[in-house]
Amino acid sequence: MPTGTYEPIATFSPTSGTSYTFSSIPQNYTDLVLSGSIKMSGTGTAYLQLNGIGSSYDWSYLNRTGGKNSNDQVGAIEIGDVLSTSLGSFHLNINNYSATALLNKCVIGYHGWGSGMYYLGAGLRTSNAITSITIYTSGPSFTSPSKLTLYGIRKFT
Amino acid sequence: MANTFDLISSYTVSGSSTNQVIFNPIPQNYSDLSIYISSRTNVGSSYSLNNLIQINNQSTASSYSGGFAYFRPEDSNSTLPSQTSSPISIWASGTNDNDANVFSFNWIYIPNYTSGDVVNIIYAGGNQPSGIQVFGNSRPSTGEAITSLTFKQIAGLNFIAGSTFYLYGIKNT
Repeated sequence: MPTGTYEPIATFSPTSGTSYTFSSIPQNYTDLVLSGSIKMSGTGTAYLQLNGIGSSYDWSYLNRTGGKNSNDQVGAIEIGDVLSTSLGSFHLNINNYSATALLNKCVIGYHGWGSGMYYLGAGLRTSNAITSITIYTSGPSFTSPSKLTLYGIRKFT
Repeated sequence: MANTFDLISSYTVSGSSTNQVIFNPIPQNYSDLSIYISSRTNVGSSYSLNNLIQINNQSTASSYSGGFAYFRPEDSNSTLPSQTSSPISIWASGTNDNDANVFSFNWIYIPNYTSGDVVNIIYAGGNQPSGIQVFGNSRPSTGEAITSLTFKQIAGLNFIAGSTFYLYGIKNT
């Protein structure tokens, strides 16, 4: 692999709090990968927002237990449950994030925890480049050894 | 900036078939592990789900829990078939009934593998044509840093020549 095509932008190892924002995301990559593992002080749900926007998200998922769900024009993307007993693992791709044409900024990927796993597809229709990503919970706090990392993927030229 | 996505080790089955591929020891200086598998087994059906992942040589089925859902061309139900019985760390393989050049594709992701906590392994992949797509998660019952991974065939089956296993380490600094 050519050097420097998959680069860590920022890493966060939260031990408290219910929200974290990756801000001032550089615009010199083609795509982003948000991955890591999260553990909470109790059972709850994890959500994701782009650019601090609190509306107009569409999302749908398939659960590995065979279920499915979807929601349109809501305030955040539901990326799955969180637990206090194990590290939930997630890997999300955010493609074409720096585009300024009006299009759907897509989030696709997987999140697996105790008794569930989502294959997730979601989007936010906007003409703004994505400059921040926030992950927050429905109430429980992040605990150790949670870790969140945002990677940038650069086209090799 | 230095590479953050490093190939730790790889293995290609050649000549005699084998029932397991082991990566041991796994360096502890990465943040996450990503594994890419393309495999075939010597079973006579369109796909095989007899593929396991074992952590740190822990071979007791009850030591793992998780589950997966799957899609097949013949499935038309609105609810995906799924399986949560042990053993559970599974991906799909191509088989003898596939064309000789048809191998499965599979991706496995293990973040925070050195944490010593109970980490969920997530995976997705499948096998075509006449095949199956799977996605799911699995986790050990107790937390420990992952120092070895075993990719194993059960039910007397083997990985056959051409199957490939690539283990990558991902750094977050």
